[in-house]
Amino acid sequence: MKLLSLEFAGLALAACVLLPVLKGPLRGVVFLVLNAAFAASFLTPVGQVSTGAFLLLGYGVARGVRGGGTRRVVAGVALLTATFVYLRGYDLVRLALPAGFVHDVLATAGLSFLFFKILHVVLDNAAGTLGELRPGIYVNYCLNFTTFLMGPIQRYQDFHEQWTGRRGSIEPGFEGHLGAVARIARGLVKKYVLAEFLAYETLYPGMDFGAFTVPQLVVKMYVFYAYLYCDFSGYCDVVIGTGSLMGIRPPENFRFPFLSRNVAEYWLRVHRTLTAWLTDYVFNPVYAALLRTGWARGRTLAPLAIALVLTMLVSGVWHGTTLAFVCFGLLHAVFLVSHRAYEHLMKGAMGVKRFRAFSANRAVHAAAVLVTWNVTSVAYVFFVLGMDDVARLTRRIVGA
Amino acid sequence: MPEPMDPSPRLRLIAKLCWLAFLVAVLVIFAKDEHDFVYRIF
Repeated sequence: MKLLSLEFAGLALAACVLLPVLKGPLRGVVFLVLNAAFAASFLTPVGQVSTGAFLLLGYGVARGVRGGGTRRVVAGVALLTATFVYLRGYDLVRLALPAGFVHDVLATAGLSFLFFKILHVVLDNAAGTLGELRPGIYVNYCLNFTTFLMGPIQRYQDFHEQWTGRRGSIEPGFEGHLGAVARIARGLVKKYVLAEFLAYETLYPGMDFGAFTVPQLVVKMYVFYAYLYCDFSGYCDVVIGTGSLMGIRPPENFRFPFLSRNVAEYWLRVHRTLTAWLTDYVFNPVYAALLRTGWARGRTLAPLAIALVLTMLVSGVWHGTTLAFVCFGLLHAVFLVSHRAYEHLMKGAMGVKRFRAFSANRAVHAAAVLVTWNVTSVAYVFFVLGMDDVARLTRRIVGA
Repeated sequence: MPEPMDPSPRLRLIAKLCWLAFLVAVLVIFAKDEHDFVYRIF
């Protein structure tokens, strides 16, 4: 079910009309039916069963870890991760398991987002910070059609507050609703006009690099960044607008990533809900654990670098199933560690005050934006092309 | 003497409606659905 279709328009309209007026269990049932209809349009019957089983497993683990100690949490997370890796059909799984054990039909849409939402529920419930975990709300939270396929990664607490009416999703009145409708229209224009237009001039897997000059290929690399931004942020605009109208507004996911002055800031502006998830559940625990060890004493950068590399490795593996996505994550890790090292060195050499003044200088600011824009564009080459294509592209550029 | 009405809220509303009409017109004229890379990734 595409966003620009009568089916989605009908589903969204039904949700926006029915959910604000219905009350009690019927509201939950209607939302579940709408969510199931959306998910079913992307899944094979076997995919629907495996998604349902994954949801149930997540609920069972979330219930089981409450007050159960660290070992139980680790076992639960390991079980969910192994199930996710198997269902997602990673290249590594295909190499490790006999052919009969790998089934493409099990691969489900939106599984990466579902996995992170479920892990968040499990970890927060274990920590006692989730609040009330109710099966009906949990299923609708996981399958919520505005966040099911491509995020944003909403937190259970945020969903729960809005579902139970403790917090509004939209400014009351005509203007608030008009703003949400305009947001949907803006998102559709970004995704189905701008992104579609840019798609003709971007890099794509299997393309003949020899047919283009090196400057043309570099421009295509920049265009892919713009294409991805328009496509993904347009999608988010549509679902945020729809969610606002139906009473459960998903969180914001983008904030002009092109303006980032460094890669750390870039991750705070692009796919922000993913960055927040990775910060809370990967970076912070790893960094805190490293700082508790005696090894970290006297070392400033090393624990930070290890935590950053691990976080970006998880980010890369989460984004896709191939080696190219691992490289995408590792390249960003290199950028982040380099940025931290640069800051550390400059602050040491100039002092914090002078370094701040230096960074605030307009020319330095512009140069920083330009450098960030270029390095993040380069990293996206791994996002769009497989390793064979990246090797061919590199040969084409180096050989020129 | 009655105070003149502040035109800004009405103007703002008209501007928003015009913006929406423009977006819908662009969508109706130019929308295409031939590439869907992000769907394929996730």
